[in-house]
Amino acid sequence: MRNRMMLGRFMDVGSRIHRLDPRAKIIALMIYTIVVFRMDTLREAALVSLFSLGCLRMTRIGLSQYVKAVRPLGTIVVFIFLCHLALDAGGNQLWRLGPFSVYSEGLERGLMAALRMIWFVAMSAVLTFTTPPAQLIRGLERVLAPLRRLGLRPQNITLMLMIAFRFVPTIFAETERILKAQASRGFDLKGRPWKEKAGLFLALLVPVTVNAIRRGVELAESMETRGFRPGVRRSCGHALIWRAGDTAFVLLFAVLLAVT
Amino acid sequence: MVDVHFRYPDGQPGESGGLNGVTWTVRDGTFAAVLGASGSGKSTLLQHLNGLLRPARGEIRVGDFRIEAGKPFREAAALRRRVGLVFQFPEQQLFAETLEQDLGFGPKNFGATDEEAREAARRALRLLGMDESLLTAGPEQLSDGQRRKAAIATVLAMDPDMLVLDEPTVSLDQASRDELMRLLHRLCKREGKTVVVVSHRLEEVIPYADECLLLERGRVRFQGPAEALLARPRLLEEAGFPLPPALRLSRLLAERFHLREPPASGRTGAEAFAERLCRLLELPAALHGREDDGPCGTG
Repeated sequence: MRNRMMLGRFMDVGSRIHRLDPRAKIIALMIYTIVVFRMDTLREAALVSLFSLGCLRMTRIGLSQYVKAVRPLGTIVVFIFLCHLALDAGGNQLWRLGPFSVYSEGLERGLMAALRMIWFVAMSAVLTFTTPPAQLIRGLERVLAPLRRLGLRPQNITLMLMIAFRFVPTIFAETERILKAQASRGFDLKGRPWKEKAGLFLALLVPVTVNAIRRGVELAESMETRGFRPGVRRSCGHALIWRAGDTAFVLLFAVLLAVT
Repeated sequence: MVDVHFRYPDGQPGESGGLNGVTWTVRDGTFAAVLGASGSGKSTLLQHLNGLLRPARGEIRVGDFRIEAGKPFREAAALRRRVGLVFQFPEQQLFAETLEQDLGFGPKNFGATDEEAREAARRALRLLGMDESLLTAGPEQLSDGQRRKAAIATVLAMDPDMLVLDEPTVSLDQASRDELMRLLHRLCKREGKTVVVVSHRLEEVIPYADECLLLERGRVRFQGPAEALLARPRLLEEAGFPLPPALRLSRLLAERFHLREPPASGRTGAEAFAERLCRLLELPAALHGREDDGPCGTG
């Protein structure tokens, strides 16, 4: 279960992209998101694909890692592709199979939707693979800083995110342990009616939730004992430095946005 | 007849806590202790006992059940009824509103009726020396020690032949530790259950254990009676278990004064030490004083 959680895994191979300012990467990813959702023609899709592939190569992380990151979405991607293929009518009819006919536009849109998802996830993975979590959070905090005008506290948002990231593996491990403990008491979902399954599920859900809440309270207390006060301005251990390379990186994405 | 037999070299290659060819037999009705430092494979071993983990090589036999590597094992549910496994911090698995419901969870999963489940719940509580009035209490109303015992009772409620516990006394206070170990020992000797306890604390299990298994990095370093294990202090120290202070003291004294040391016994408390000291100094028996009630005694 844990091994499949590829998103949010920093891999230190020290490429040029690793050294970029996290803010640059986040802003670039934002621009990229617009690009990916705006791309409409096959020519644009090809351009975006080439550009993205180039980015992946620049990180010096094996393509197989990105494939792993995208794979959990495989079913959804295939499903959406097939939906477009089967349901979109328009353009030339390519071939037909019983009640379904495949039109060129359906094929095109299906491809587009699939590529959109794949590239979006892969490029998000670039951000998380190449940025240590602490830096990622720090960057996010800075990028979200304008939200302060709206009365939101970016620090709180990023702290929440950071804690969530940190505890995902812990809670997974704990769930596994409780699952085993209940299995030892005959907990077995197989071959039971749905109604019973829901009831049995409580045996898993309640302890996991209770433990998570308890852990949350403990964490809050331990943070407070170490002098943490929410909402207070803090200095950073690692100051973020914006270099020319960062500007160039963001500009690269801006150019992509302009041409598509 | 519970005859557990492991032989699984290369349990999980490269992973800490794997097992490298462990062969061990526990006879029916014995109190067995599994000792070992962190990551030595104790917990992994336990989880093989009720089929939560399957051996990569070798086989496990529990009673009539046979789990063989590479072969499907379809009787996991039946095996889990016979072998009750209590995890570390078992109180964290409590989920129901009342203790009675929680205690009935296991039996009901194995097909007991409501009435049978209630009866099983009462019996399990009694076995752990808890008051039946606690049946309607919620887990939050119990003390830490009580919660731990209640969680062990939830496993006991399934009436397994074999009770396997992963560090049952960890984080309890001294009185609760002693009480729990005594209860487990009584379950073994009075109710005829086979009890397997994993522990970090030598002096805690040694007084009760008929049989010890010392693990180190997934390999068996020692198996046999507790007395034989105590007679090999170097082996224990290598595995991260210094001798209990009383034993160490008597050993040092014997060395210092060139005395013949009496054979190690399973008892490691202060009283036992006083007795050893008398024997060490070869004082007349009259000075030994009153025989105290050992854990295996009539107390």
